[in-house]
Amino acid sequence: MMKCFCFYISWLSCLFFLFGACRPFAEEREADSLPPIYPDYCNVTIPPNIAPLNFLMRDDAEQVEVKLKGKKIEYTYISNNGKVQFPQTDWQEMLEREQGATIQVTVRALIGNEWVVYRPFKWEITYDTLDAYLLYNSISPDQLSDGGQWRERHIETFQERKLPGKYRFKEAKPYFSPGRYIAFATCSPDAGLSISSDDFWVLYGKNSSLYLFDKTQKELREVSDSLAGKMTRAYPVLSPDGKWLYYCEAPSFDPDSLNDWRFSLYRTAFNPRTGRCESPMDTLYEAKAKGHTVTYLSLSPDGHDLLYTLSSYGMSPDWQQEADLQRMILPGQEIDSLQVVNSDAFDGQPFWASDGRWFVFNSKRGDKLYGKPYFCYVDSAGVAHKPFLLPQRDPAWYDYMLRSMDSPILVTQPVDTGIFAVLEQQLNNENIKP
Amino acid sequence: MPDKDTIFRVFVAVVAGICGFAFFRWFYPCHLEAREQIQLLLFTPGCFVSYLEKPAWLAVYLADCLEQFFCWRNGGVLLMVLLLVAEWWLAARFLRRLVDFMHIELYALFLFAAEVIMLGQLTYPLSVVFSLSLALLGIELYMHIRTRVLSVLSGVLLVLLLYSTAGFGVYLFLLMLVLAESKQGKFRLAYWLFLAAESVVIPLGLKKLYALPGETMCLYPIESVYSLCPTVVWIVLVLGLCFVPRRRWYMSWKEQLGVWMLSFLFLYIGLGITTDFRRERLLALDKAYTDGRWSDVLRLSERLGADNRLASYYRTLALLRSGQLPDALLNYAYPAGAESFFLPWNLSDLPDRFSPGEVYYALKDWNMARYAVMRAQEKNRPDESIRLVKRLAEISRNEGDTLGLEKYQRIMERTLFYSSWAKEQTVLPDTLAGAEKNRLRDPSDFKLSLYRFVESDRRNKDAVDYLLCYCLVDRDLSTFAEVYRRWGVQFYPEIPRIYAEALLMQMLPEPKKGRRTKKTQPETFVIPEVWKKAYADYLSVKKYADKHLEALQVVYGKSYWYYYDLSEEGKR
Repeated sequence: MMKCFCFYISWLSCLFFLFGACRPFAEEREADSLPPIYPDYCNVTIPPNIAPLNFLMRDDAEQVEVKLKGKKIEYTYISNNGKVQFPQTDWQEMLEREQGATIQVTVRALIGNEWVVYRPFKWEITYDTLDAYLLYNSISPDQLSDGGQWRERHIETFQERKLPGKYRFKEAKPYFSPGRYIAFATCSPDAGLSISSDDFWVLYGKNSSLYLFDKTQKELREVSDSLAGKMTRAYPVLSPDGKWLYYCEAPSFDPDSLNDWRFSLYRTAFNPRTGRCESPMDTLYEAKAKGHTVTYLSLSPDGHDLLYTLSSYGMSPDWQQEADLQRMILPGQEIDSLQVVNSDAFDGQPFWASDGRWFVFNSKRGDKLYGKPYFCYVDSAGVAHKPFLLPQRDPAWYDYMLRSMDSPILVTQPVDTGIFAVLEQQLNNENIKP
Repeated sequence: MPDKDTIFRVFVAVVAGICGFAFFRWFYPCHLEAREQIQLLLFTPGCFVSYLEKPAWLAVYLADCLEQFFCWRNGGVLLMVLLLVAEWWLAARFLRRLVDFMHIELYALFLFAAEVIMLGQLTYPLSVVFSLSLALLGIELYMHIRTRVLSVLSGVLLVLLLYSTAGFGVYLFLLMLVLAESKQGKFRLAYWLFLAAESVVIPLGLKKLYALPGETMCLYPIESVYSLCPTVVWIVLVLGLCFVPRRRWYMSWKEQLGVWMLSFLFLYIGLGITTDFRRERLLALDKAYTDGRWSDVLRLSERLGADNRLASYYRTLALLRSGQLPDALLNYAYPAGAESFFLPWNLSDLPDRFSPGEVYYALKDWNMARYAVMRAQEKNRPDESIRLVKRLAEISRNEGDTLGLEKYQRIMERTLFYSSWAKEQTVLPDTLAGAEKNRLRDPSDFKLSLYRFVESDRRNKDAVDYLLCYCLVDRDLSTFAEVYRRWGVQFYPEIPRIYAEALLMQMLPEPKKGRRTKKTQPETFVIPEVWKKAYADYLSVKKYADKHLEALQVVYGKSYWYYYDLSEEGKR
């Protein structure tokens, strides 16, 4: 009797699981659109040492099937929660084997009772690697907190660490100036704050001056005194050979003519031995004539390409959604408007990687509120490719982020914060507020 | 049938629980609700992992989970009281193990009382209660182990486990372990020293990983010396019971009564010293304002007194939101003058953490409101606040920013109790569409900023009224007249009484004093004859103010003329 009972129970359980596991037959439909994935990793160019490009579907997919097809490998992943998270080892193997090739990504999503097959997209894998560490300032979007918290992210994995201590520069760029000198402006853009109607708020600096810190002599020197006129100068960058100083300059700030307060881009010859500017300045971008302001400079390691942010007015365009990146090819001063790179939200704060093939920049695309680091590849022909967002283990991470990831910088080694202390000490001694 | 001991223990637990519940439910309810408002717990893997990045992750996580329920006034209090009763029960069990003495659990009431006293403070982390409870649970488990080798192994493991889950509680565990073992006659000095060394080495060794200073690592989640109060009470109690010799194995009814009374006295005095009923009333006021109960706001602000800037600020806003401005403006006193209309940015009291920039939100000044919220978020770090995120969502919704609203909706959908609210929100038409652009405004100058805001969006009646009332209370008649002429006239086919009174003062200055400049054209304003006559009457009787001020107050007390010329605020 007991045996019989167990037999029936077993059969009933099997039937229950069998029918329970089966869904009604799902039809398949081909969609004439790219999959609605976040972050937007469709048709991007990626380095061979990036962490898995995990993404999520924005279309309430119950199940997602992703097929990766390269020259040498073919993987299929299935996700049951709408989030696609690739295993690290598979991913690394794929990138290693497919360097220089293109991977086709096909996404199928089960929505309701229907499998939707989206148009496939591609990932181009370069031979050029990206610098392994990204440094950024995790800061309130109002940028008025006490400097934010610097963090260092290993881009090949998802490991991240807080850098100990607080630093006076809101961006780390000055610390990583190549060569003998560190160039910086004394006035960070938060010296004044106003709130306007169209942009969220406007940050501006007053009487900003340029300074140089001599790493060998451990000396601070004001550069502005060797430049003509009492102007507001900011965003200084020294060329890699140390012979040119690029900077932005505007008349002193007048609150009544904010819309006309624009920074032009200048270059002046610089003598690394004396630490002084030696010739009249060379205008690279005349703000008044062109009706835009130039901010946030970054010069490529070969001194050939200058990236900057172009916006309508002011010194810190972080809340101007029309702010876009531009590239100036210096020998002929040709301008590349980087259309494939820019978005309808703020794009700025560029920084070149050490090989001059990649650059990172800050963009508020997606929510128009919080800055996020995007990486862009510039190929040997000088063509910029569609940028991609720094991947996270949980692709929904950016949805829940309530701080901006400002002033991104790429470095090849983990940061030794000891080098910051020297400059910090010197600034304290000289009572100079960056 | 439960034995007498069990009945006694249940009785003590019920009495303690009722006392705790009554205090937090009826005397101090808003503090617990405020705790819920100033934190944000998302039920996402990433958020959970962020707890693992700190010491005492379990204590902190459980505390944050429990605080979610504080938005329910009854349920939240009940859950918290249950937690305190559980802590009392664990403490009582340890005391019974330590001192073989009947009804010893009564002494654990001191720990219960200390926790109730401290939980009245917003700065006392609930995670400390969990930290102590986990330490008590740890010792309870440890005491069950009989084998010597197993106890050593589990001791070593428990220290590691307790540090990572309960943080500071590990030291309490160690102390209790030493006391309990020495009471049992097990003197294992080397083992105790090893555990002590382990409990110090672990936090110091992990400080680089957590990027926290050594002392913070050791004391986590305790943030201030005051947070140590329940721990100190417990240590004193345990040491006292351990080392004070006793003649009997039971407690006489007199002694029982004495302990009851002492613990109640301790609770009473402790609450008397630490509770801040002024802040409780402010929180109640804030809650009433948030819920849109304008009459309650007016009533509660009266109770807080006219000289309380925060109360008059909320009252002025309630008048605005309920459409009673300008008519009811002078029904109330303004000892702080026009400062009742805004709060300074550096105010470190409640609004910075709870309701920053309410005035800007009420005036539909979305940029300034957003700025105030993000500034408050920064002050609230490292914690996020559900209230601030909700406000950001509301701002995005009201200004028609779909992307912004979606961002905050996604966050709130991951919370326990705000998910449905978030799903219901849809963007509204942008109220500022068509407003002039790029009016630079300095947030530190409220009046000028408001003036510029009105200048850029002259259709905003609330903002115009607020600016007009600000000028009235500030006794700035020339700006008042200018604002009324430029932007106010369009809203009023029939001029409000108080505005008419102010304009009359501006148009018809008293010839003798000549202190008001005549900038506006009298014919610009259409003032009913009845008001002009009333003003003439007022001027004729005003000269008797020295002798008949009270009589004048009866007749003109609610008029702007009286406020301007004769009231204490006006004179000031």
